[in-house]
Amino acid sequence: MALYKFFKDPIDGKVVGVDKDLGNNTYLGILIDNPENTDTQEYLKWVEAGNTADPAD
Amino acid sequence: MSSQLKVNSISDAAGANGNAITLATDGTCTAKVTNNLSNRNLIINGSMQIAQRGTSSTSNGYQTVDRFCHYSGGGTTTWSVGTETSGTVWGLGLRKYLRCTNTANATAAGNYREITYKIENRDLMDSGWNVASTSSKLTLSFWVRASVAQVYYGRIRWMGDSADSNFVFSTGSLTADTWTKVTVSIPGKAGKTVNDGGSQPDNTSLFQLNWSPFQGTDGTASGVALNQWNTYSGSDKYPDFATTWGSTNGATFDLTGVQLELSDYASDFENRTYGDEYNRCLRYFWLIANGSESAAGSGGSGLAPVATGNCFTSSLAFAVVPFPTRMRAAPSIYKVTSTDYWDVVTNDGNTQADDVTINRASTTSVSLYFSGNLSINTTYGCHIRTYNSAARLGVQAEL
Repeated sequence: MALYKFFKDPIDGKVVGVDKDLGNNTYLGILIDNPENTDTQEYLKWVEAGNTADPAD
Repeated sequence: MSSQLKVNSISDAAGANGNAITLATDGTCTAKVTNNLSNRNLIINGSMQIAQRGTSSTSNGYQTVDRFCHYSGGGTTTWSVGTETSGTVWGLGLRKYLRCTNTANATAAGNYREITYKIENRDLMDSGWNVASTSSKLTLSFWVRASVAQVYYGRIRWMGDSADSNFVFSTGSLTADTWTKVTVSIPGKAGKTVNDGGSQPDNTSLFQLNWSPFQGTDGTASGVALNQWNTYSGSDKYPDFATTWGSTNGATFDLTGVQLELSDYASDFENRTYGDEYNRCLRYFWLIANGSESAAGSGGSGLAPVATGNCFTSSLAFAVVPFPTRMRAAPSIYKVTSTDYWDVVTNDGNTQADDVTINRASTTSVSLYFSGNLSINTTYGCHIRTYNSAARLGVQAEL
């Protein structure tokens, strides 16, 4: 299980973000298209390092 | 009978510490006043009063006190908020501190424990500090206490030019279990520009304060010069550390009263009200709802109001939450969620959702949807509340 998991927009079904699992039922919900957000920046670095988020439900 | 004193300056009896008051020829003066000053501290939550996410964690990042993040590698570290009930810092109005506990020791080359404060670039650049002048000074002061007597170090990483700069300071040799006030004078650096962010937006962080009770040799080198700007390198961030604290299980390192001010001397810590510090924190994090805060009114505990919204489909409720202040950037959401953590209330009764998901965000509001085992009637609007005392929902735009 990856650190991040994709989620979709419920209206158009497109992937718009990732949930980061912090443990103990705690998560960060992160929009991928949000360049000034440091959680987004950290996720994109994680992807650049060769990682891939788990698919959305 | 009146008298008039005509002098150029006033200093202490020894005269070796510069002028306390310097008078100009236009009838004005500058004075080094240390007490009862306000609006000086560039640090938010330097008294560690605000801890919206919680008061104990073993994880890295922003986990406990607001605006301060912490990182460790190797062994186990517990970060917590402590309370003073008497003594030196308590007497100054500093009742909370951030504690790093070396729960399981680790002293390998790549191991470390570090507390970090990231100051927003615009706050520094608008402070009046002439970043390019070596005679223009910031003064950092803080109170520190450790259970192990030794010298500890901190550093400032300043990004934004072709090579990052690093300024290392020492706590001096601390006496075990004794609070010590440390003062650090930080000059500007020749060659820096007024807006040293360059192409970086003003809402990013280029100036980061760090305190460390232990750093392994991967990040240290012998002879790293203190109290001057050096070129940053990840392999010599600090001088070599003694390993006494690092090798001691249960060793503690406490920090409070952090103040950064435009001055060449340290004034007394600027005590702010809880509400003032809380409001300043909201630009970076806001805990919207906390299930453990029992809401007043009927319905029982664990039912903290979250938002109003509408039943978008039979299995999905939308809601928009406006923020009390503009955030630094469009946020992500922070959530503690599991089965039946959210209660969606409509004219048709109430039903529980398992999850909350961010849908859109701006610096002033966020839209969310609640889903998972919902069965609702799209005819209705709704309001949403927590349904478990462990449920949490917040928005986060940290540096």
